Amino acid sequence: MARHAAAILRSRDGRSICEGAQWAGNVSGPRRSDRSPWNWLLILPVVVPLLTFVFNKSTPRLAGLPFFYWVQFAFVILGVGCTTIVHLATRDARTGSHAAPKED
Amino acid sequence: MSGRHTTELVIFIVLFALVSAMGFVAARWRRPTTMRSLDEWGLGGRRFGSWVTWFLVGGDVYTAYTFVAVPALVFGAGAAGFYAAPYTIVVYPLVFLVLIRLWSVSHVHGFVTPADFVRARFGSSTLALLVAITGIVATMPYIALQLVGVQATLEAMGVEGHWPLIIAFAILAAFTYQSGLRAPALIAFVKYVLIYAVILVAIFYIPHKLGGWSHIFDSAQAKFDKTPRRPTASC
Repeated sequence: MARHAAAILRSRDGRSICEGAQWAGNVSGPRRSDRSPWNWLLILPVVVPLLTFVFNKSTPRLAGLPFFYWVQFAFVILGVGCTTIVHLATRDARTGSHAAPKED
Repeated sequence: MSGRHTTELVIFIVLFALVSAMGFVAARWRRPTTMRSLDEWGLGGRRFGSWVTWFLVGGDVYTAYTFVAVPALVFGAGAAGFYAAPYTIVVYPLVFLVLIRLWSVSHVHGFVTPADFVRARFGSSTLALLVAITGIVATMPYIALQLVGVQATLEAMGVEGHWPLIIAFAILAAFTYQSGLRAPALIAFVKYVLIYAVILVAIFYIPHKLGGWSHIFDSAQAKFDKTPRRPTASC
């Protein structure tokens, strides 16, 4: 990404769109605020539901639901849980000096 | 049109009237000074907070596709429809990673569509045009799918022919034209009530009527065991 920082692009009104924007590794500016090791936690809910051999079975059942079905409901909780953890852990960094604008 | 469908028709007409009225009224929701701006029409004046956005996204993700097309695919073709379950789980962490940056950059620079973003980011009007065209073309099969869903719903109530579908779509197009993104955002509240009603009925009431989840899956297993398997080579 860093090499794009050199290629400063102009939007219609002529402002540099790299100023204040978080997409380029601003070499001279402050450290990009949304880069965090916590983001790696998101790999878990992205990869686990794709490992079909893990849940391609009907037992143990939960309230009569075969494993295949209830474990996918559990994956929803896994996804929400991981995303919530990452959100809370990275929120302080995002609302720091290089903040994303707040919603009204 | 026999009397058997009276209940369904009354419920449908009442809900359709409610949703259409809300669609037209939505233009006055949060009172824009003018609707003659793409920010007001396409983004609700950029004033939707987390809650309205949550309703809007939920109402737009879980549609006739979720409730009619995917179950029909699983019922008809079996495992081919399985992708729909994991992908809705997998997509949210990915979206979380990418969309926060996309949103903050777009917010700072006042972008309305992905094409605006692409034009500014890569400095190419051609690429932006291609992204815009791809977006419109890719939406077409999805809209077609929604229409199939509406048609199936109408036929289940004994309403035949193309005219009811055309009228329903014309009303939908009219209030979308007038209210922009405010219409689906306001209607999303009604959709949520209906979606949760369907989920609760499907998870608790129907299994209760059919003797519990164990009985349902055991019966399904017994039926499959009795059904001769198709040769695996055939398609």
